[in-house]
Formats: sequence, structure tokens, C-alpha cells
Amino acid sequence: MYVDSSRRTVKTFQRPRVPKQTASLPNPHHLLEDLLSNPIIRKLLGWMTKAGPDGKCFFERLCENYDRDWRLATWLIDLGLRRAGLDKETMKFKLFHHPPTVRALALTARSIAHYGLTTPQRFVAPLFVVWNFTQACNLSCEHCYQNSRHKPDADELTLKEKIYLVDQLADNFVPFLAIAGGEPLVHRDLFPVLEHAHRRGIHLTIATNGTLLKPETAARLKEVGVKYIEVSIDSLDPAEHDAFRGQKGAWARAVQGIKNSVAAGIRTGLATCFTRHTVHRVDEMVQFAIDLGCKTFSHFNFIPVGRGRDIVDVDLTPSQRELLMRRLTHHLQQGYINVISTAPQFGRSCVIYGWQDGVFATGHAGRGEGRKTMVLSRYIGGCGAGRCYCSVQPNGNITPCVYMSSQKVGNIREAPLAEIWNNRLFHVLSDREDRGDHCGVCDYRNYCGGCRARALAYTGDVTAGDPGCSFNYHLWNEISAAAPEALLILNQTVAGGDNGREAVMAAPERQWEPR
Amino acid sequence: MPAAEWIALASLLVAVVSFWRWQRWKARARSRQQDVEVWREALRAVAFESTNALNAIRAHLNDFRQVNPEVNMPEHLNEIAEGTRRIARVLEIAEDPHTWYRENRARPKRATPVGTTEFAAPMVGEREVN
Repeated sequence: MYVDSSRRTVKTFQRPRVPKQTASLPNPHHLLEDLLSNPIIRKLLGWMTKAGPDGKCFFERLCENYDRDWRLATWLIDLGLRRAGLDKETMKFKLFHHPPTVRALALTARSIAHYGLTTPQRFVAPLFVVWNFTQACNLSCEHCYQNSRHKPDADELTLKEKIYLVDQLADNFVPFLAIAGGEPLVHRDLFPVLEHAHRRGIHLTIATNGTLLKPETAARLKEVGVKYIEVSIDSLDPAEHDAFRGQKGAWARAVQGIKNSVAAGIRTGLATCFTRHTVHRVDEMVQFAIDLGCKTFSHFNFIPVGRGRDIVDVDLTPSQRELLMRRLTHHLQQGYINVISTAPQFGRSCVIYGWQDGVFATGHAGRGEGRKTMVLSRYIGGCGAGRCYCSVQPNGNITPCVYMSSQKVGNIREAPLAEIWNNRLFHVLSDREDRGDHCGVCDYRNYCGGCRARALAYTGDVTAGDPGCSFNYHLWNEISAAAPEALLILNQTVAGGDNGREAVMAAPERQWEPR
Repeated sequence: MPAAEWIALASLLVAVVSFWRWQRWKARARSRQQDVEVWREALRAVAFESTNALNAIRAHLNDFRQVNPEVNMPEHLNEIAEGTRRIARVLEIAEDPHTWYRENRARPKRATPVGTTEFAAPMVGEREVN
């Protein structure tokens, strides 16, 4: 949905919707929802989060000076904390004196002041940015969405431009930055950029293949403020992993990399992209992560983009994905390890298979227990592409998701982030009513929304149903039966973002060729 | 005792009894309100768990049918699907009992009850199992 020049609301979905298969879900309610919907409170939030001359808002200054200079404010906050039964030291450590959390809250408050409380919540800037730091990688993985090579591209951002990008993120209150690739550890600009981002108060994480994660590298990463390292291992069988990753010995080095990261005292996660050949070993994989000392198990949804288009036949069927989500929900509920997934169905899965007071995944905000978290996940859960998350390509292109690199909405060299963020494609992605197939009528759309990258990769239409979901089996069957040239059902270009640039909603540049 | 005192005493008695009854009524109302609140919460929790269980059954039934298109005796699956539709109706009633009550009252009475009288799935012995 977007609002055109005559202020009309325009829905853009073109795939026909199907009869609803889900029963209406009673949505839990929280008093805070009434409070945040109040126009006076919205005005107050807007005032508290308006950036001052030094780039900081009142809310940030309040948190900074809590338990320091602002005695009266400290006394009032303490009074509130005591009444709410919250521990002062915990709140001080986890909230008031933790810059990323303060920035996340400030950004959320600014977004509510600007858009109001919407389901799902729209944001005035991304909460989470994944930066594909370089195109260069020391491996040649079969499923690489980035189509990485052994050399960086000629048009990649220079160090000066990278620093400018970090400043842009910090000025827009972006709290979380994940550096991916390619392989970020092969690039010499990585550490200066990390140091700068840390100085600007951004929470840093790195996704790596782990082969270059030596003890001294891990120690250096900790020193420059990296809080979380995610290492990819795709199989328990070293030979299978090495074949998938295109290098002998990659498995052993990746496992050693995880051990080095854990030993350095950095929160470490194991990331796996399951295929039809490996999905049956999900329980063993999670146990392997626990045994290695990982705190998080991260499931990466296979999307047939980049080199992944050549191995599309290993993509999970909706049925296999449903069972995978079930197992992952089980492990999340067990609590031995944190579980996250890039499949938006995981949000739905936590609701459908969990108890009302159980653990829920809230997408980019981690997990939590009980009704409060469930209410939260209704606002920020599911697919965040172009809504609370975006991706930066090595050349500075901004795209809604790492899996949607063809969907450029702007370049950081040409325009500031705030201007790029406000484009028509992101407006469409933020509206979960604007969907075809079952995604448009599903009762779980606020917790899930369907994977937009998967819809785009298979149908060429970013608003189509997610063919990876059990409720969209008709679409999966249609795709499986279709001829390759018929797959790009809605290959179209929608011209003109609100800022005058092109928001291209087209199929990938290269057509998908199934085996 | 003079009549005026009797009247005063009687008035006092009436006032005390009225006050006592009022307090008692208030306590009952409070207790009833709490009951209603508890029932509402419980109903919401029941609806939540049932809806999700129902949707999980539907998702897996759908998957099962797709994975096994040539299932033996699909009538059983049809009966499960029919059962999920009935549970969905129950949940609709739980979500908005007022509408259900109004519709139910407005509907004309029939001589014979509406509903299926035959099993969709054959009984044992009715048909040979492959």
C-alpha cells in the first residue's frame, strides 16, 4: 500500500487471494497499546526524541545522566522502578547505560510519534542494518546469495565512504548493525569501520564463515566492540560441508573459529542453511551448537537467489519447512539455546505451537516470554524487509533485504539514508494487508508476513504469497509445475518513489532456471 | 416508649438493614465482576490455545494431503477437516457470543435438526479396505 499524490491509498498486490484457511486468532492486548495510541503521548514522544544541535535527543540525555548528574530525574525514575518492582542496577546496566537499547527505544518512540502505533509497526529508520561489507570471499559456497567472488568489486565503497555510512546510521539512531559479506574478515577496512561504529554507540555483530577466525582475530574483534559472531556450518558431515562451501578443510576451520570466538568471550552463534539433504538432522545440529558453547542457533532460510538459483532443487518443500519450524520452536521453548530464524514463519510457528505464556520470537528483537512479548511480536515480528530492516550492498546500494539485491532503492553515495528510506517499495513492504495468495488473508500475518524475498525470487512479485508456507501450497504446486519462462508471473516495474527516484519492483536481473 | 422514639428506632433499623444489604450487594457484585473477569480471561486463553491447535491441524492436514496424494481411505481426512470446521465455529461463538445468541434467537425453529445424519467415512465393514 502507498499513498498517491491525490492522497488515495493504493493497494498493489496482483496475485489473487485464496479462501482463508486459518481460524481467527484472538489477539492479546496490553495497556501500553492504549497509552501509545493517545495523541498527547505521541506528541510527547516526538518532543522527547527530537534530535538537538549535538545530534542527541532529550531521551538519550536523560538516560546518559541517569544516576549521574540529573538527581531529580534519577529520583523520579527510581520511584517508578520501585513501584514497578524492577531492579535498579539491572535497568541501569541493560537499559539506561546501554546505548544501543537507548537508541532502539528512541527510534521506536520517534516512529510511533511519526506514524502512530501501527500493526506491524513502521519505522522512520531501520532498527537493524545488514551490511554486505565486500563482495570478496575466500570460499565459493553453492548457495551464496551474494554471488561472491575471490576479489572485491571495483565499485565498492572506499574507507571514507564507509565511515560516512556509519555516521549516517548513527545520526538516524540505527541501533544494530550486522556486518556480512562476502567474507568481512578478508577486508582490511573492517577494523577501522568497526572501531568507528563502536565509538558511535552502535551494537555490532558479524556473520562469517569462520575459517579466518583465529584466536588473535577473535580477541581483536572483542576489543573493537563486536558483541556477537555468527559462524556458518551447514552440515555435521565435514565432507558434505566442504563440498557445499567449495573448499577442503573449511568445516574443521569453521569449528575451530567457533571455539576461538567462544574462548575470547564473545557471544557466538552457529548459523545453518538447511536443504533437503540436511534438514532431517536439525536436532543433531542444534545439539552440536550447544556442545560447542554457542549461545544462539540461527537458521538461514534458503532463497534461490545469487548462486542459490543453480541449486533450487534442494529448497525445502512447504511441508519440510513446517516440520523444521516445529523442531526449532521446540528447541526455543526448551531454552538450552536461543533460536532465531530468517524464515518469517518462525514467528507464526512460535504462536501456533507455543503456549500463551511460552517463549515467542520477536524477529529482530530476539525472544521473550508471555503475553507482553506476544503483543510486541505482533508489532515488530515477522519479515522486517523495508520496514525495520534493510541491507547495504558493498557498492552502497540500499536494498530491502540481503536476498533482494536486485531491488535497489537508492545509493548512500547519492542521497542520505533518511531520504532513501522513504520510498514506495518500502511503503508497500510495510503493509501486510497488501499481499496476494494466503499471505493477504492469513490470521498470522502480523507475526509472519511471509518471506518477501522468497515471493520475489519465485514469482517476480514482491507482494505475492510466500511459496514456502504450508498455507500457500497451491502456489508451490503452481511453481513446481510451471515452465521456467512462465515463472516470472508479474515481472513489472513500478516507477516513481515518493522522492522521485525509481523504486524498481521487478524480477531478478537473471531469470531463474530450475534444474 | 413514645411513638416518636419507636419511629426513630424503626428508621434506624431500616437504615442499618438497608446499609447491610447494600454492602452485601456490593460485595456480591464485586465477586460477580471478578468471576466474569476470570471467565473472560479463561475463555480468551481457551480460545487462543484452541485456535492455534486448530490452525496447526489444518496446516499439517494440508501438508499431509500434499505429500500423500494417494492416501488410503481419504474419507478419514475429510472427517478431520470437517471436525476442524466445527471447532472453528465453536471458536467464533466463543469470540462473539452476543452475535451468536442474537442469530440463534432470530433463526426460525425447524421440525428436524440440521446436520449430517450420515458418516462421511464408511463404517467398518461397509467397504473393503485395500
